[in-house]
Amino acid sequence: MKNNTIYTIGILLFGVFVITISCSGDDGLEESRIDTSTPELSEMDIWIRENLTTPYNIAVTYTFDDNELDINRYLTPPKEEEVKPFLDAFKKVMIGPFEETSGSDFVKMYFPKLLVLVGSYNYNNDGTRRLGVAEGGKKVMLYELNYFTERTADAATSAESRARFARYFHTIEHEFGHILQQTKEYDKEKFGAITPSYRSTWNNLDDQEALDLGYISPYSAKNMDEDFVEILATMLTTSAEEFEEILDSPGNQAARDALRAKLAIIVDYYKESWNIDLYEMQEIITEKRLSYFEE
Amino acid sequence: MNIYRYMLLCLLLGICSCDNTDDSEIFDVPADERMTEQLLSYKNELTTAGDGWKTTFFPDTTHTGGWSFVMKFDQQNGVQMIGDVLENPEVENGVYGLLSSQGPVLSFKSYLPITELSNPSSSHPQARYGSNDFVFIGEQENGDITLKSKRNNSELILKKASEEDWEDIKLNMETEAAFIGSPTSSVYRFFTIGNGTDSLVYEVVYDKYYRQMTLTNADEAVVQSIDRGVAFTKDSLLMHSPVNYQGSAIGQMFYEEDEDRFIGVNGDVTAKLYYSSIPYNLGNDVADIHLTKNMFSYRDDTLEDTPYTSPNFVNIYNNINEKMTGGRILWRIEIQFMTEDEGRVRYRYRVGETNYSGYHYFTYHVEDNKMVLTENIDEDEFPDGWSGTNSAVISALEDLDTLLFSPEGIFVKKLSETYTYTNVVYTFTSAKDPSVRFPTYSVLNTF
Repeated sequence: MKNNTIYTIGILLFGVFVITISCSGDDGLEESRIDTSTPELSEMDIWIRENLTTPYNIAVTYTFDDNELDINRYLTPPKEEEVKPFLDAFKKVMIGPFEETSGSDFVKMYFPKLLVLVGSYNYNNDGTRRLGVAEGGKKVMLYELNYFTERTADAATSAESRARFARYFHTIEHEFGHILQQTKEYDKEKFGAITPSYRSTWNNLDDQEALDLGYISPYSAKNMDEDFVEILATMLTTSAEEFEEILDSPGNQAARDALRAKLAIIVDYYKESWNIDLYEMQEIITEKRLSYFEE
Repeated sequence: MNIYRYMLLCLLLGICSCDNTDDSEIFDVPADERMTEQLLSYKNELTTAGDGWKTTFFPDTTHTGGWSFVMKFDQQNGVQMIGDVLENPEVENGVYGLLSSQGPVLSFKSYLPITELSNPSSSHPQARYGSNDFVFIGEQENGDITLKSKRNNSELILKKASEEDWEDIKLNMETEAAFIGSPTSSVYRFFTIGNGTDSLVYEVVYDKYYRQMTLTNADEAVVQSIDRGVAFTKDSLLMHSPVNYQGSAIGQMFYEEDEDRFIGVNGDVTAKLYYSSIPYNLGNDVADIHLTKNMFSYRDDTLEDTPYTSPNFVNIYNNINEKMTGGRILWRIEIQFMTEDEGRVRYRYRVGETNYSGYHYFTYHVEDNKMVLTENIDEDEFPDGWSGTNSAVISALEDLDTLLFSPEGIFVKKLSETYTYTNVVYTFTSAKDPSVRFPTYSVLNTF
């Protein structure tokens, strides 16, 4: 038995030796054929590097790259004139408040590492639109950038324009909310028991119907995680007064109570898991938003 | 003994696995080097054309017509492009890339006129079947470069452009405008093709968004439609593919401004496109009303830009909203045939998030295959024919309402196409003003 083992090891070593010898070519290692040269940077690339990539570890793709997108969808790159205004607003209204309350390390660690900007709408087969998608906590795709300036230009004077502005950042708060809730779990059992009637046909609900069922938006009714981040995103894209109005808008007491019960879980989760006071965060974001409009 | 067998086997495996005979090499250089060379060669070819390149691209040979583009590439991956895809074509600057992905690929990386073909909307979620990436197929002997859309293999042929091409492309829009006609042109338009003795007549409907012309035979018992994608030059329209008549094909028709028509000739076969004030065949789709369908709805979010929604109807509709006061916005029109001879037009409008309706009551009858609506007055319930509707709303609706209630009637036609929803679509066209036509979703409703 011992002899067999020795023989076997000997055979294996001999085999490895033979293969090694037979494969040793005369050619040395050649220079890599992969093009590792730095591409020429445009003004926009430099702005992104200086304002987002270097300080916050966030890369931005704003030209068409089908490796980052669903090739079965009809999508366009954003118009370049829309990119900087949007990213500037993103930096001030989205990054600023989290940096102020939780520090730049928090932003570097948890904010999406890659923002993929898409100019066009992104339609689903059922006629609904995707406003954003988060993938694996690292990458967030944002759609409809080509309409950003047009929709938000009058934000200083028009409530409708402010609401449209909020809609863009609702998408980002929503997706960022997913990243955090996927990183540290909230009490799903408790949260899910409050309004358990989630449904795939959420898009058949109108806004008021959803509210009357205890969901802050129709999309909230899709599943528990979407419900969680929809309440969060609504809170962080409205002022305290506006948010209170929304919480009071369901047509029945049970739905109003359900919304507040779910909100309490979210507020506790942010405090305990992330040391973030959401009411304070809401106030800071509201201030940043208003000062951005007034610039 | 077994040990020696194993040793021999290992030796053979080792030697064979590393066997490298130069005779089996098909190419001189590795694949990545060949790809790099090919991309460099294409880049050189693309960037050395003094006035750039031009193409007329049909993004989907079944669903769309074609759009023309002129473009010029530089060594720094910049591209200038103009295309007849937007109303007022202008040269746009952007970025292109040459990539290796399923072969050498030309990728339009920033928002350029050709990108517009991939830009979706609520009524056209698949946009115009465009693509941002095109795979190089090869260079032809005449210097043309052939590419294929990465999305669906539609062919894109780049031809060397001249200085004039950059200006001429703007005239393509004028030819398309002539082809579409003025907003007040009749919606009834015919395409005839024949040899002077015999001819075929087709009703023409043009889908501006897709640049597709639907030709429906007008004088035969069996209704058949053929679709033709069209593209425009500075003085003609191109049909893809050509229309054949007794072995002669006509693929290009030139605009004759004096006659306001397009003419194409091939030998003794002539094709013509011209207007008429009435349909070629009245049909009897009006008989369906109240029998199989009794409510017909126009809604602007999904039906405003169908080929059956005439520009003059859209003008009238938009004018209504301009005339509306108090923040009212008309968003839906429902023609409801509630009994065998009575019904109402429901105009739905909203103020902010709140919806309202104004009802205009009618009696109806069919006359010469047209639907005729006559105002119905009930002294008790609707003494002015309306359901207590605000007079400012009635006044704003007047231009459209007058046409619907005209004694000359309405042409009604059932379509084979559907839009967004599966409901059968019927069009309503004013006989008094045949430039006004709108499509409606039909349902059988209980009132």
